Formats: sequence, C-alpha cells, structure tokens
Amino acid sequence: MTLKSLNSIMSILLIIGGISYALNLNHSASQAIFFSSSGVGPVYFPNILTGLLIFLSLVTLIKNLRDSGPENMARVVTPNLGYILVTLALVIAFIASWQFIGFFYLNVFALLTILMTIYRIEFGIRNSLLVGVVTAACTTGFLFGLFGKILGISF
Amino acid sequence: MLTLLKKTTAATLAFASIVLATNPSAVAAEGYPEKPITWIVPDGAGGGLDTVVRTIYPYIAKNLPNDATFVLKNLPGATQTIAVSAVYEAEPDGYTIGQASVAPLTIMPHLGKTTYASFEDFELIANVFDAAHYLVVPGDSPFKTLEELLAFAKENPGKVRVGLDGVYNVQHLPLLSLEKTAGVDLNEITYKSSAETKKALLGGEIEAGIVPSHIIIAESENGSIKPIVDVMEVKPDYFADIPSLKDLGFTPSQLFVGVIAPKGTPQDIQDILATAIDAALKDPELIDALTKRQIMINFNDSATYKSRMTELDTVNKGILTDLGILK
Amino acid sequence: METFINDLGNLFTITNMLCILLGTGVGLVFGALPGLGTVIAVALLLPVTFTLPPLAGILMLLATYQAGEYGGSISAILLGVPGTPQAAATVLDGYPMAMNGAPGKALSFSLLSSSIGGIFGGLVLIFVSVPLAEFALNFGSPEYFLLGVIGLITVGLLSGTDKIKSLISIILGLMAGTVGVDTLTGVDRATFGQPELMDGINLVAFLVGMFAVSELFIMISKGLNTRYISAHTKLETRLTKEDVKLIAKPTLIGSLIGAATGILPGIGGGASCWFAYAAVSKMSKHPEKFGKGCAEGIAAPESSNNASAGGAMVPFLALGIPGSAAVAIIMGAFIMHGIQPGPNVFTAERDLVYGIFYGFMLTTVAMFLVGSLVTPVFSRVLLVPNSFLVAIVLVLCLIGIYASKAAFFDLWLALGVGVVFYILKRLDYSVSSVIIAYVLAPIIEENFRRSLTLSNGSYQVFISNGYSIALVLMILLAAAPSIHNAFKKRGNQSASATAEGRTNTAD
Repeated sequence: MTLKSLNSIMSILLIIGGISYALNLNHSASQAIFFSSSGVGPVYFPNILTGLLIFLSLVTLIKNLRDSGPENMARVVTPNLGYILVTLALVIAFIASWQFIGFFYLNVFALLTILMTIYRIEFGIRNSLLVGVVTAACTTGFLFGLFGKILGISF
Repeated sequence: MLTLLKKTTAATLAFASIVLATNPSAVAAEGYPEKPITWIVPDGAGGGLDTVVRTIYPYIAKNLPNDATFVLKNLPGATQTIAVSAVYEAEPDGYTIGQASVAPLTIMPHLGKTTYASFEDFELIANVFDAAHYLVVPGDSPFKTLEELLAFAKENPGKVRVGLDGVYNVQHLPLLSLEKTAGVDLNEITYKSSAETKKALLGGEIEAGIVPSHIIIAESENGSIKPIVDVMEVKPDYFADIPSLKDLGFTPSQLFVGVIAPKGTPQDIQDILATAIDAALKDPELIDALTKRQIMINFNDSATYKSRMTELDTVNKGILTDLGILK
Repeated sequence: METFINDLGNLFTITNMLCILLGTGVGLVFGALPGLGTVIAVALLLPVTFTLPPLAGILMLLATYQAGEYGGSISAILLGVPGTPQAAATVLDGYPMAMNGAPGKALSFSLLSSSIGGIFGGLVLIFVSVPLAEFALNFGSPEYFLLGVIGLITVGLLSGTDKIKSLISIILGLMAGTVGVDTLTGVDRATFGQPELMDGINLVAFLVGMFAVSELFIMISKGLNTRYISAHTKLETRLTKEDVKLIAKPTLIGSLIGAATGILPGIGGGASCWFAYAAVSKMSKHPEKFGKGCAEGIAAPESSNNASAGGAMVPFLALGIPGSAAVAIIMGAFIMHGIQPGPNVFTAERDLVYGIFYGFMLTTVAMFLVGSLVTPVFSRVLLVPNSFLVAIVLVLCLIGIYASKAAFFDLWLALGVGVVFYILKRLDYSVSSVIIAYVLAPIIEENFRRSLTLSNGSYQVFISNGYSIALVLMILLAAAPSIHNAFKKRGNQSASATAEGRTNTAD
C-alpha cells in the first residue's frame, strides 16, 4: 500500500467515525426531554466538532489525492509486520480467553511464553522455548505475588 | 468493534443462562459459606463508599459461620448501575452480594438506563447506613430559613442558583419536587462533585447548594456555610436542631445504603447474611470506627429495607412522572 | 522554636520513617508501571493506613503520591510510554534523549526536577496555604473555562508539521472528551449503549492505548533482538554543573505552573504537565530543540507534576476540598481517623498539620534518595532486548488498564485505540494534541455551559471581574503570535507575487 492510499483510507475512516459519533449523539439526545436553561445544550459543541472534523478530513483527503509526489507515492514499509499482526492476534485471544474463560495467571503465562518464543525464534525453537518458559514463569510468579498475594487484587 | 463486543456479551449471557438452567440453585445453607463470597462494591478503590465497605466487611465475616471470607470487587461507574447490573447477572447462590445506594435501584431503572427493571429484581438483605444531605447557604447569605429563600425565589424566578452534584439523583429529584410544591423556579447548577459545589458556595458563585452533611461540619462551626434544611429524612446528631423537609411539610427524599443479592438467593442464606450484618453493626469497635467517620449506622432488616425502598420508589416515580420524564 | 523542635520530634519516629520509605517504594513502582499510576497506588495503600497512627498513615500516602509523580516519568523516558497521565508530556523529550543514548541522564534530569518541584510544592503548602486557598476560590466556572481555552491554544502552538492534521488531532481529542453522560443534562453522548462509556472514555485505557500499544508495535518494527544500548558507559546518571544550570529556569517555571494548577481543584496534573511544557518551550531561546531530547523538556513537566502534588494539598487542608483525585483518596485517611479537613484543622489538629507540612518535605527527600538508588537500575531496562521488553510491558499495560476499573471493555478499547493511533502516528497526526484536548474538553465545555446557566445566558459572565478579564487578555496574547504569523505569510506571498508580476512586466 502506498502512503497516499493509507492517508486516504484514514481520512475516510475519520469521516465515517465522525458521522457515526454525531448520529449516535443526536439520537440519544433527541430522546431526552429535560434541558438546562443555558441555551447551549448537550449536542451544541459535539455537532460543531463533528462538522469541523468532517470538513478538515475532506480537506486532507483532497489535498492528499492531489499530491502525487514521490514521497506520497512511496510504499508504506513496516518492518516485522508479521510479528505485529501475530502480537495483535495473540492479545485479542488473550483478552477474550481471560474475559470468557478466566484463569488469568494461566493466560498470562501462555501469552508470555508464546510471545517470547516467537520473538526469539531466530535462536532456534529449543532455545527460544526454554527461555520463553523460564521468563514467563518468573514474570507470572512475580505478578501473582505482587497482585494476587500482597495487594489482594482478583483478576 | 462495538458490534463484536455486543455479540460477545450476548454470547456470555446465553452461556450464563445455560449454566443457570443446568444448575438449579439448590444450595443448602448447611456448610455455607464454603468459598469466599464476592462483594461487589459500586465505587472505585479508595472512594467514599469503598472505604465504608472495607471498614465493615471484616466484622461481617467475623460473624458468619465456617470462617467466611470476602473478596471485594470494585466496579465503579454509571451511577452504580454497572455494579448493580453485575449483581443482577450473578448466580443466586449466596456467593455474590453487592452494596447499593438508592439511585441505581429507585431512579435509574425509571430512566431506562439499566438492564434490570426495578429494585424488585433483587433480594434486599439489609440496610446498613443512612446519609443526610442539606440545603445550605453561604454564611453571609440573607436567607436564614427555607421559607425566606422560597419567598425570595417566588418574587425572583430563576435568580436563586442552587448547586447540585448531578442530575436525576438523590439531590436533584427532591429539589425539583420542592420547586413544584412551593411553586418557585430555582436555577439548578450542576457540578461534578459535592466538593465542587462546596467550592462554588465558598467562592460566592451560587446562592445555595445541596451537599452531604459530613463535608460541611467544620464550615458550619465557623459559620462560613449554614445548613438550612435537611433534604433527607434521617438527621445526624450534630445538625439535630435543623429542620428537615418533612418537618416543614414537604416531600423528603431518602438516602440509605444496604446490601443486596441476586433474585432467588436461598432464603436461609439471606437470613445468615442479615444476622451477621446485624451482629457486626452492634460491635462497639465497628460502631466507634463508623461514628468517627460520621457514618449514621441504621440497620434495617429485609422487610423494613424493602418497605422503605418501595416508599421511595413511589415518590421518585411520582416526581419523574410529574416532570413528564416518565409516562 | 520549642514547638518547632517538638514538631520535629513527632516527625522523626521510626514508624514515620518506615512508612515514608514504604510509600516511596510503592509509588515509584506503581508510577513506573504503565496504567497503574498514582491514584491506584494511593488507593491500594489506603486500607493499610487504617491501622497506623494518623500522621504515619498520611505521610505514607503522601510519599506514595510524590514518588508516583516521579515514577511515571521512568517508563515515559525509557519506553516512550507514560506511566501516569501526569507524565505524558515527559515522553516528548525524555524518550528521544534516552534513545539518543543518555537514558541515565534523562532519568536524573527527571528526578532532580521532580524533587525541586516537590520541595517547591511543600514550601507553598507551608507558607501560603490559607491565603492561596482563599484566592483560588475567586476562580469560578467562567475562569476555569478561560484557563482551558488558554491550554488549548498553547497546545495548538505546540503542534507538529502538518497544521491541518494537528487541528484534526485536537478535534479528535475534544470529541473523545465529550463521550459519556452529559453532567449538565444527563443526556448520553455517543456512548453507543455501553454503560462503561457513561462516565466517559477511561483516561487510563485511552492513554495506554494511544502511547503504549502503538509504541510497542513500533518497538517490534525496530527489531526484536537488538538492544537500544549496548555499552554500559551510556548509563551514566551523573549530572554536571552545566546540566543543573540548564534546567534551573524551566524547573522554576514548571514548579510555579504545577503549584498553581494544583491549587485549582478540578484541573489536575494531567493538564499541568502540558501547561508547563508549552510555557517553557515558548519562553525558550531555542524552541526548535524541543521534542528532540532536550533537558528543559523533561524538567518542565516533571517539576510541574510534583509541585502540583503540594498544590493539591492546599485547598484540601485549608478548605476541605481535594485538589486532585489522589488527594481525594488521601482525604479518606483523614476521615477514617475522625479528622475533618477544613478551616478548623489548623487549630484543632495543629500537631498533625505541622507534621504533614514538614513530613511532606521529608517525602520529597525520600523520593530523591530512593530515586537516586534505583535510577541506575531502571536505566538498565534498555539493556534488555525488545523480545522480552515488548512481551512483559504488554502484559503490564493490560493489567494496569484492568486494575483501574475492572472493566474488560477498557481492554478492548485500549487495543482499538492503540491500532488506530499506531496508523495515525505514522501519518503525522499528533498524539499529544489528542491527549491534551481530551483532558481539557470537559474543563472547557462544562464550565462554559455552567457559566451561561449561572448568568442566565449572558456572555458578560466571561468578563465580569478582574481575573476573567486578565485571562481573556492572556488568550489574546497567546493567540497573537500565530495570527501575526498567518498574516505575515500572506503578506509575504502577496509581496512576492507582486514582485514576480513586476519582473514579468519588465520582460
């Protein structure tokens, strides 16, 4: 993807976000009956902000579409993009598993082990797995001691 | 993202109901409690209500059988409705109880902002304490009594500005009701917290305000803030000679905080809990600790707690209907 | 003199010293862990204080508060992830300085300016509490609104390369700040039916998502098994005389601004660090160095957040109105012991109040000493390869977010915000503009609307007294340079256009 298309996508996303913000806002406000006497109601500023956001995002979009300079046409390079996506997927799995299944410390241990093993895979699977397990165990133990035992926070 | 979340919540709810269906809650009170009881606190760690619960719970645990222990879970936010909803959704096995004030049970359901329909969706175990909120004026105010303030407000609609710590809450509803009964128009000014209302009073930004009694004890002693009427029914000792709305013939509000449990919690477990709370609140050590903090202990058993709740619910419903908010 | 010695006798007990040390340790760790922060640290220690004598307990909480304000800068400097909202501005210069190979020095700058800020706040507390607290009462809703506007303008001036994108960032922050139940009317605003959004977007989740999640992605891109710093010599923490001289002025300005914002309840340390940063970068002789790792950019926000701790105690002790969220929790320790803060506390609890005064200084000293001990250890964090750092920091962030409200919604929110802002950052949108606008949005909007309700709709309320008029003049003054610049640019353009025209006609 080029920087130009990424820029355009973001501008469009911001416009969509702004519109849905405004729609939701005005919908719930229309159901309220009681307003204060100041004359400046709860939707006054948010609507101005939405208007500005959409206008400025359109300006950015148009400016971006007209800019075909080499810098803007360059491809977006993200080193280690694969690792980023894997991390993201693992975090989603981690939060979901913690929320719906529980066993927080087990989840922490699993997440840390998998992450560190994958991150250090270049050192060979055995080495990285061993280091991953040991580090994850120490970290999880520390967290359990601090939060679970000393502070008494239940996750 | 949001729809995904909604779907997942729906999935948990479905999952929870399956669990409920396959596990009919036939827990015998014998041996109760076998594991720690989760106590859901509708306040952030370190907040006013949280510190009260943290003071009380060891004494309740001491009075429960089988070396009972509690796990406190703080779920602050959305006028306590997040915590109360969590109690609503919990299994009625006696291992989840919650603390709740009156707003999430008798006001928020009428505004359609809750998953539960009313306070009747809960077992009301026992009331623990009451609080008083006073209508106060700055020390140099020309108003010495409520009558004077109302008389001036009648002549000058919208001129008297009264500070509150939010809308549609235990301060706002009685004030709206007072305005209607007395036929006056006050200018309600909303602040984020009672501390901000107090600051505005001292800074002369507003003519009057409604604040909890315990935050103005020192100011009332040195005369910088004068309480003129108790908005709630119960009065603390230190303001015993100040009239309440009820004394003056207006509809009072009430503010009391008790322990609730999910609907369907076995009756014998409810009784065990209520007895333990009663015994704890008679412990001189706890009484001393709570009195120091200006907390007005007021134990009500389940029946009294429920009848007070019903009464308040009717009053609040009436006020909201009069205002045209509730149809 | 005799009473003074008595006071010191009360203060220097073994219990008090141990409590201060414990509080300092907890504050440092919780401040440094992203998401957890000062408020949670103080809240978690509060139950411990119930069993202690009043002075010891309160000093422990104050030590936690102070150390947490410094601790937040540790992760801000080393990882680019502010440990507390009050350390968000420290990222701008602290992180680049650490990346340029001087993490030890960056931490020392932070520690020194934090300590000076703490002492400054303490002095304000001891000598001018009562008059200042009464002065602060003159600042009503209209004045708060105007202050918020000043903050927004100074941030607008701070902004980066692309003016339109910076403006969009500010608007995004303001919009995020309006989410939740409207305080004045009870209307739900853009909550999309989520009860977790009724109290607004959780600041901690927002901040961690924006800074931490996106920063971790960037760290992965930089290489997983490389170290930022390989030579131990770069961990040098000692500051030279010139270094100290360099940060003298920004530290003083930061302390003044921090104490002033602390005294005004409801503004909060989250805003004060930005005010200080903006002021110092405007007054600097070389503003172009800011954002690239200059010491002044660390000293200003760090001194301000510690000075605001002392400042926030001022309205609390004198009037019983807590000046910050952490002080509101410390109030719990007072009430628990049956002590009513407010006008009578100076006479009724004289020993306690003076114990707090001198003890507050002591907490700063403890922070400096403990900080000096641990700073070299912390700076070694950058010796750890990213493969470990990313994984562990990620888990700590998630715990931090959950600990503040026990809401899973916040975790998903932080993740979503993190992904979006990772992309926005790469497209030159300004993250710091978003966060300051978010912090200021409620201050500006609520106070604006409340002012109009107070005045029954009359706009005169914004110029009704000396303070508000002075603030309006400050706004004009702050806005003047950028308006001037805009005109100058246009003037230059038209001038060059006519010049071109002339050459054309000459042809």
